[in-house]
Amino acid sequence: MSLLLGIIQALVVIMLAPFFAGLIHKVKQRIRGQKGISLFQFYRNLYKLIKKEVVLSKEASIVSSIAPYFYFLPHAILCFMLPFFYKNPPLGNSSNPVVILYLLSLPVFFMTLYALDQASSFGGLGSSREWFISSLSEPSAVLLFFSLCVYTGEPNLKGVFLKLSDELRSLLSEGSDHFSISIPFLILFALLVLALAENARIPFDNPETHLELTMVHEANILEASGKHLFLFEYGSYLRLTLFLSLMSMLLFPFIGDATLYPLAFALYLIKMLFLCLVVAFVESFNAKLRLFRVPNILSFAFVLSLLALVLSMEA
Amino acid sequence: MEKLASFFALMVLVFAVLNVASPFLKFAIRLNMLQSWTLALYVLVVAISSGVFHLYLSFLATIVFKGILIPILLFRVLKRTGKERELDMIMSIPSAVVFSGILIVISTILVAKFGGLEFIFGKFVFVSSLSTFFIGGMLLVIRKVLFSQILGLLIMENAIFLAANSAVTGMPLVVELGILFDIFVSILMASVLLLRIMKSFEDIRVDALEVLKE
Repeated sequence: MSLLLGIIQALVVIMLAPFFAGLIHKVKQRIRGQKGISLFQFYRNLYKLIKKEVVLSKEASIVSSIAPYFYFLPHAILCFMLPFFYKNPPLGNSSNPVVILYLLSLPVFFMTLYALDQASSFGGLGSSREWFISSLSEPSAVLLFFSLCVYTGEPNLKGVFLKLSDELRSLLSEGSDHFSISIPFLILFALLVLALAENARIPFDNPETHLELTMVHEANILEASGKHLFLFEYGSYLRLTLFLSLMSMLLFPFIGDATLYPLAFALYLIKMLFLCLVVAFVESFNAKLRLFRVPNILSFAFVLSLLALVLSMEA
Repeated sequence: MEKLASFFALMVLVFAVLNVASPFLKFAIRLNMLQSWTLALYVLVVAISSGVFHLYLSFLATIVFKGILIPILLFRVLKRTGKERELDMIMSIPSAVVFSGILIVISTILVAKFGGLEFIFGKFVFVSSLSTFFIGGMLLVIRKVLFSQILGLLIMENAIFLAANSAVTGMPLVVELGILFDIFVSILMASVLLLRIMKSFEDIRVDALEVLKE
């Protein structure tokens, strides 16, 4: 029973990913004064892509035919690891921070390989930029996950979020005082910066254009078509959903067991809608940064995570 | 209450780090204003929890002097100098920010050695004030525009004020008002000096001042 509920949770998150991405897109368009796409447009796009055939360049090696799967699969596996709203995810016991970090950067590795393998000039450009941003945001992510583990004293992220949820519940019912405002605030802020940087969102990269001077993420998947593009697109929606879900689990940690399943799910949806709105507003009211300004923000996020680590060692 | 106090103390530090990361003068002044406001809120929390009356007055004085008057003055001076451009530093912004992270770690280690002190809201408030002090000092040294020297001084002053309110419930009111007035007057004089320098040298960059003028 608990296995079934855990699998349902992961599948629901996987199914909802294009919806969240579509919602952000729609809100951004409404802010600009456009009518906007349908909320389910991204599902239709994906359906269209899966029917089309794959076209590969004649320079492509075997890497090109396996890389899209290795872009999608780690994200899908991560969905089975994290307790989004139910406390027993199927792979929860292996949700070690190191494993999670590797699973988050493995797709980037394969995506950049795919870009290089097709021997187009934009591929090399995009992959070097992608690694520039990704390698700068990595230290911040490492410190962030470790500070969560140090703060709660749990080795796994599943345990971390369960403990945070328990703390919140004991705070609401008995008014216990083992909690902290500062650490979740710091981590949420750093995670927001990371989510924008790792998902090629506006201050770092514009996901909507194919302007060759500025694109980062799109330059990597420029050569992809058909099923491969489907996997890349779906993978990037999943990546965005994963980062936002990590934030939602910190924002108001409420993770239910079997009886509280619908309530926890409803709360998860509300939190995700709120975070989607936040991302859409941040994207709409900021201009894209020059590429050499990116280290400024990412180093600031690094110091925030360092501060969170210092604080969680004190607490 | 304790969580709220340490949150405000943390925000003072975060605004100092953000100040290091800010490439524009106008943004830096605005951050300094926000830092003074969070500092005032921290003082308010201490006042409410300890019930000492003169802390309310020092909260008001902080808001009026540091939160409103000094930023208005700085904005006006900035407008007069007409140099609303990017800040030059002797090292790049990312390395300065990471260096301020190192300063935070160093001050954490230093505070751990402080055995005898009792703090009202935990050790972290003192860690925050010490590292804000260091970061203010660093800003004094690494920026090349005269204007930001004033900002570094203000950040250091905020840090000392926070330190004074971390271990005891503030200084006597007369001393506090005296310091605030001192700071205000010194900022006033520094800005007059800055305008004079601007007038006779036509630049406020430190390295340009080293060149002899006929």
